[in-house]
Amino acid sequence: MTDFLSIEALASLSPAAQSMVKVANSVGATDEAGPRLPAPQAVDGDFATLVSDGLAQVNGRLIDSQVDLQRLAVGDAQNLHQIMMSLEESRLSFQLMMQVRSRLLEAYQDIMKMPI
Amino acid sequence: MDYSQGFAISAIGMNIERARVDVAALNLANDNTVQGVGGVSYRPLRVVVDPSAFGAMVGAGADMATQSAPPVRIVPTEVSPRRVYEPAHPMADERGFVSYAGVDMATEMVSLMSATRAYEANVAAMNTSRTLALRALDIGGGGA
Repeated sequence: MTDFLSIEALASLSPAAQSMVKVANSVGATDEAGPRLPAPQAVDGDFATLVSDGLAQVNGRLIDSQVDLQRLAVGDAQNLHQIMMSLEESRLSFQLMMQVRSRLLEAYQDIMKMPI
Repeated sequence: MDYSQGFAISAIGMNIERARVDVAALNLANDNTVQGVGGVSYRPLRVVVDPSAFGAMVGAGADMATQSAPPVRIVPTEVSPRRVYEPAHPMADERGFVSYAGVDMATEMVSLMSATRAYEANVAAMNTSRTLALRALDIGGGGA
Protein backbone atom coordinates (compact mmCIF):
# COMPACT_ATOMS: atom_id res chain seq x y z
CA MET A 1 0.00 0.00 0.00
CA THR A 2 3.04 2.28 0.09
CA ASP A 3 2.75 3.05 -3.59
CA PHE A 4 -0.81 4.22 -3.25
CA LEU A 5 -1.59 7.54 -4.89
CA SER A 6 -1.91 10.23 -2.27
CA ILE A 7 -5.24 11.89 -1.61
CA GLU A 8 -3.82 15.23 -2.66
CA ALA A 9 -2.80 13.88 -6.04
CA LEU A 10 -6.23 12.35 -6.50
CA ALA A 11 -7.88 15.59 -5.47
CA SER A 12 -6.07 17.39 -8.24
CA LEU A 13 -8.08 15.26 -10.64
CA SER A 14 -11.24 16.27 -8.88
CA PRO A 15 -12.83 18.82 -11.30
CA ALA A 16 -12.39 16.62 -14.33
CA ALA A 17 -13.64 13.53 -12.49
CA GLN A 18 -16.65 15.33 -11.08
CA SER A 19 -17.73 16.57 -14.47
CA MET A 20 -17.30 13.02 -15.80
CA VAL A 21 -19.44 11.64 -12.99
CA LYS A 22 -22.10 14.25 -13.72
CA VAL A 23 -22.12 13.37 -17.43
CA ALA A 24 -22.29 9.66 -16.60
CA ASN A 25 -25.21 10.21 -14.24
CA SER A 26 -27.16 12.34 -16.71
CA VAL A 27 -26.67 9.67 -19.36
CA GLY A 28 -27.46 6.86 -16.96
CA ALA A 29 -30.64 8.50 -15.69
CA THR A 30 -32.35 8.05 -19.04
CA ASP A 31 -31.90 4.32 -19.45
CA GLU A 32 -33.73 1.55 -17.65
CA ALA A 33 -34.12 1.60 -13.89
CA GLY A 34 -31.81 -0.81 -12.13
CA PRO A 35 -30.04 -1.19 -8.82
CA ARG A 36 -27.65 1.73 -8.99
CA LEU A 37 -26.16 4.17 -6.55
CA PRO A 38 -28.43 7.13 -5.86
CA ALA A 39 -27.16 10.08 -7.83
CA PRO A 40 -26.85 12.56 -4.91
CA GLN A 41 -24.53 10.18 -3.11
CA ALA A 42 -22.28 9.91 -6.14
CA VAL A 43 -21.79 13.65 -6.68
CA ASP A 44 -22.06 14.73 -3.06
CA GLY A 45 -18.92 16.35 -1.71
CA ASP A 46 -15.67 16.59 -3.58
CA PHE A 47 -13.68 13.77 -5.05
CA ALA A 48 -11.19 13.49 -2.20
CA THR A 49 -13.90 12.75 0.37
CA LEU A 50 -15.38 10.20 -2.04
CA VAL A 51 -12.09 8.37 -2.26
CA SER A 52 -11.30 8.59 1.42
CA ASP A 53 -14.80 7.34 2.31
CA GLY A 54 -14.31 4.33 0.06
CA LEU A 55 -10.90 3.71 1.58
CA ALA A 56 -12.37 3.93 5.07
CA GLN A 57 -15.02 1.36 4.16
CA VAL A 58 -12.45 -1.07 2.80
CA ASN A 59 -10.28 -0.49 5.84
CA GLY A 60 -13.24 -1.17 8.12
CA ARG A 61 -13.88 -4.49 6.39
CA LEU A 62 -10.22 -5.45 6.71
CA ILE A 63 -10.30 -4.61 10.41
CA ASP A 64 -13.49 -6.66 10.80
CA SER A 65 -11.86 -9.71 9.26
CA GLN A 66 -8.82 -9.15 11.47
CA VAL A 67 -11.07 -9.17 14.52
CA ASP A 68 -12.73 -12.35 13.26
CA LEU A 69 -9.33 -14.00 12.84
CA GLN A 70 -8.38 -13.05 16.38
CA ARG A 71 -11.63 -14.50 17.67
CA LEU A 72 -10.86 -17.72 15.78
CA ALA A 73 -7.40 -17.81 17.30
CA VAL A 74 -8.70 -17.54 20.83
CA GLY A 75 -11.40 -20.13 20.15
CA ASP A 76 -14.27 -17.69 20.43
CA ALA A 77 -15.65 -18.32 16.95
CA GLN A 78 -19.19 -19.54 16.55
CA ASN A 79 -18.56 -21.26 13.27
CA LEU A 80 -15.84 -21.43 10.69
CA HIS A 81 -17.83 -20.47 7.60
CA GLN A 82 -18.75 -17.15 9.18
CA ILE A 83 -15.09 -16.21 9.38
CA MET A 84 -14.28 -17.50 5.92
CA MET A 85 -17.14 -15.48 4.45
CA SER A 86 -16.08 -12.33 6.19
CA LEU A 87 -12.55 -12.90 4.88
CA GLU A 88 -13.89 -13.35 1.37
CA GLU A 89 -15.99 -10.21 1.63
CA SER A 90 -13.05 -8.13 2.75
CA ARG A 91 -10.94 -9.64 -0.01
CA LEU A 92 -13.54 -8.71 -2.61
CA SER A 93 -13.79 -5.13 -1.41
CA PHE A 94 -10.00 -4.87 -1.36
CA GLN A 95 -9.87 -6.15 -4.95
CA LEU A 96 -12.52 -3.63 -5.94
CA MET A 97 -10.49 -0.88 -4.29
CA MET A 98 -7.36 -1.97 -6.14
CA GLN A 99 -9.22 -1.96 -9.47
CA VAL A 100 -10.51 1.54 -8.82
CA ARG A 101 -7.00 2.60 -7.88
CA SER A 102 -5.45 1.20 -11.04
CA ARG A 103 -8.09 2.90 -13.20
CA LEU A 104 -7.45 6.21 -11.48
CA LEU A 105 -3.71 5.84 -11.79
CA GLU A 106 -4.08 5.01 -15.47
CA ALA A 107 -6.17 8.10 -16.08
CA TYR A 108 -3.77 10.25 -14.07
CA GLN A 109 -0.78 9.01 -16.05
CA ASP A 110 -2.59 9.48 -19.33
CA ILE A 111 -3.23 13.08 -18.42
CA MET A 112 0.35 13.61 -17.21
CA LYS A 113 1.72 12.22 -20.47
CA MET A 114 -0.45 14.52 -22.53
CA PRO A 115 1.72 16.70 -24.79
CA ILE A 116 1.09 20.40 -24.34
CA MET B 1 -23.12 -4.83 -2.07
CA ASP B 2 -25.43 -7.19 -3.86
CA TYR B 3 -23.12 -10.19 -3.96
CA SER B 4 -23.33 -10.33 -0.18
CA GLN B 5 -26.94 -11.51 -0.61
CA GLY B 6 -25.65 -14.62 -2.37
CA PHE B 7 -23.20 -15.04 0.50
CA ALA B 8 -26.03 -14.71 3.01
CA ILE B 9 -28.14 -17.38 1.30
CA SER B 10 -25.24 -19.83 1.31
CA ALA B 11 -24.40 -18.91 4.90
CA ILE B 12 -27.89 -19.80 6.07
CA GLY B 13 -27.69 -23.08 4.17
CA MET B 14 -24.40 -23.89 5.86
CA ASN B 15 -25.88 -23.02 9.25
CA ILE B 16 -28.75 -25.42 8.63
CA GLU B 17 -26.42 -28.25 7.63
CA ARG B 18 -24.28 -27.59 10.68
CA ALA B 19 -27.38 -27.95 12.82
CA ARG B 20 -28.25 -31.23 11.09
CA VAL B 21 -24.78 -32.61 11.75
CA ASP B 22 -24.95 -31.52 15.38
CA VAL B 23 -28.33 -33.16 15.88
CA ALA B 24 -27.20 -36.39 14.20
CA ALA B 25 -24.13 -36.44 16.44
CA LEU B 26 -26.34 -35.91 19.49
CA ASN B 27 -28.57 -38.79 18.43
CA LEU B 28 -25.57 -41.06 17.92
CA ALA B 29 -24.12 -40.04 21.27
CA ASN B 30 -27.38 -41.01 22.97
CA ASP B 31 -27.56 -44.36 21.21
CA ASN B 32 -26.90 -46.26 24.43
CA THR B 33 -28.75 -43.94 26.78
CA VAL B 34 -30.94 -45.95 29.11
CA GLN B 35 -34.51 -44.73 29.05
CA GLY B 36 -36.52 -43.76 32.06
CA VAL B 37 -33.67 -42.87 34.41
CA GLY B 38 -35.11 -40.20 36.67
CA GLY B 39 -38.24 -40.14 34.53
CA VAL B 40 -36.31 -38.76 31.55
CA SER B 41 -36.30 -40.47 28.18
CA TYR B 42 -34.24 -39.51 25.16
CA ARG B 43 -36.11 -39.48 21.90
CA PRO B 44 -34.16 -39.10 18.63
CA LEU B 45 -34.32 -35.55 17.33
CA ARG B 46 -34.94 -34.31 13.81
CA VAL B 47 -34.19 -30.93 12.27
CA VAL B 48 -37.16 -29.22 10.64
CA VAL B 49 -36.22 -26.21 8.54
CA ASP B 50 -38.52 -23.25 9.00
CA PRO B 51 -38.74 -21.37 5.70
CA SER B 52 -40.55 -18.30 7.02
CA ALA B 53 -37.51 -16.63 8.58
CA PHE B 54 -35.31 -17.21 5.53
CA GLY B 55 -36.14 -14.07 3.58
CA ALA B 56 -35.65 -11.75 6.52
CA MET B 57 -32.28 -13.32 7.31
CA VAL B 58 -31.11 -12.96 3.70
CA GLY B 59 -32.22 -9.33 3.74
CA ALA B 60 -30.19 -8.71 6.87
CA GLY B 61 -26.97 -9.57 5.03
CA ALA B 62 -24.27 -12.18 5.36
CA ASP B 63 -22.91 -11.05 8.72
CA MET B 64 -26.28 -11.24 10.41
CA ALA B 65 -27.13 -14.49 8.63
CA THR B 66 -24.05 -16.23 9.95
CA GLN B 67 -24.33 -14.87 13.47
CA SER B 68 -28.01 -15.52 14.10
CA ALA B 69 -29.43 -18.93 14.85
CA PRO B 70 -30.35 -21.06 11.84
CA PRO B 71 -34.06 -21.04 10.93
CA VAL B 72 -34.65 -24.57 12.15
CA ARG B 73 -36.80 -26.28 14.74
CA ILE B 74 -35.49 -29.39 16.46
CA VAL B 75 -38.34 -31.77 17.17
CA PRO B 76 -38.28 -35.16 18.92
CA THR B 77 -39.52 -38.13 16.90
CA GLU B 78 -42.12 -40.65 17.99
CA VAL B 79 -39.89 -43.69 18.03
CA SER B 80 -40.44 -46.51 20.47
CA PRO B 81 -37.36 -47.35 22.54
CA ARG B 82 -35.10 -50.23 21.66
CA ARG B 83 -35.60 -53.02 24.25
CA VAL B 84 -32.69 -55.31 25.02
CA TYR B 85 -32.80 -58.37 27.26
CA GLU B 86 -30.15 -57.77 29.95
CA PRO B 87 -31.33 -59.31 33.22
CA ALA B 88 -28.13 -58.39 35.05
CA HIS B 89 -28.42 -54.70 34.16
CA PRO B 90 -29.24 -52.50 37.17
CA MET B 91 -31.90 -50.66 35.15
CA ALA B 92 -33.63 -53.80 33.88
CA ASP B 93 -37.37 -54.05 34.45
CA GLU B 94 -39.09 -57.00 36.12
CA ARG B 95 -38.93 -59.06 32.90
CA GLY B 96 -35.22 -58.35 32.43
CA PHE B 97 -35.48 -55.82 29.59
CA VAL B 98 -33.56 -52.56 29.40
CA SER B 99 -34.89 -49.72 27.21
CA TYR B 100 -32.41 -47.78 25.14
CA ALA B 101 -33.08 -44.75 22.94
CA GLY B 102 -34.54 -45.79 19.60
CA VAL B 103 -31.74 -44.28 17.52
CA ASP B 104 -31.53 -45.78 14.06
CA MET B 105 -27.85 -45.97 13.18
CA ALA B 106 -28.42 -46.15 9.42
CA THR B 107 -30.71 -43.12 9.43
CA GLU B 108 -28.20 -41.05 11.36
CA MET B 109 -25.32 -42.03 9.10
CA VAL B 110 -27.33 -41.18 5.99
CA SER B 111 -28.34 -37.84 7.43
CA LEU B 112 -24.68 -37.14 8.26
CA MET B 113 -23.69 -37.93 4.68
CA SER B 114 -26.45 -35.86 3.14
CA ALA B 115 -25.64 -32.94 5.44
CA THR B 116 -22.01 -33.12 4.34
CA ARG B 117 -22.99 -33.12 0.67
CA ALA B 118 -25.44 -30.26 1.15
CA TYR B 119 -22.78 -28.25 2.99
CA GLU B 120 -20.45 -28.85 0.05
CA ALA B 121 -23.14 -27.69 -2.32
CA ASN B 122 -23.57 -24.49 -0.33
CA VAL B 123 -19.83 -23.89 -0.43
CA ALA B 124 -19.89 -24.44 -4.20
CA ALA B 125 -22.73 -21.94 -4.59
CA MET B 126 -20.89 -19.40 -2.46
CA ASN B 127 -17.69 -19.90 -4.46
CA THR B 128 -19.62 -19.37 -7.66
CA SER B 129 -21.06 -16.06 -6.52
CA ARG B 130 -17.59 -15.04 -5.33
CA THR B 131 -16.17 -15.98 -8.73
CA LEU B 132 -18.83 -13.88 -10.41
CA ALA B 133 -17.84 -10.86 -8.33
CA LEU B 134 -14.14 -11.39 -9.06
CA ARG B 135 -14.82 -11.86 -12.78
CA ALA B 136 -16.79 -8.62 -12.77
CA LEU B 137 -13.68 -6.91 -11.45
CA ASP B 138 -11.81 -8.24 -14.50
CA ILE B 139 -13.94 -6.11 -16.83
CA GLY B 140 -11.64 -3.81 -18.72
CA GLY B 141 -8.61 -5.27 -16.99
CA GLY B 142 -5.30 -4.70 -18.67
CA GLY B 143 -3.80 -7.33 -20.96
CA ALA B 144 -6.92 -9.47 -21.34
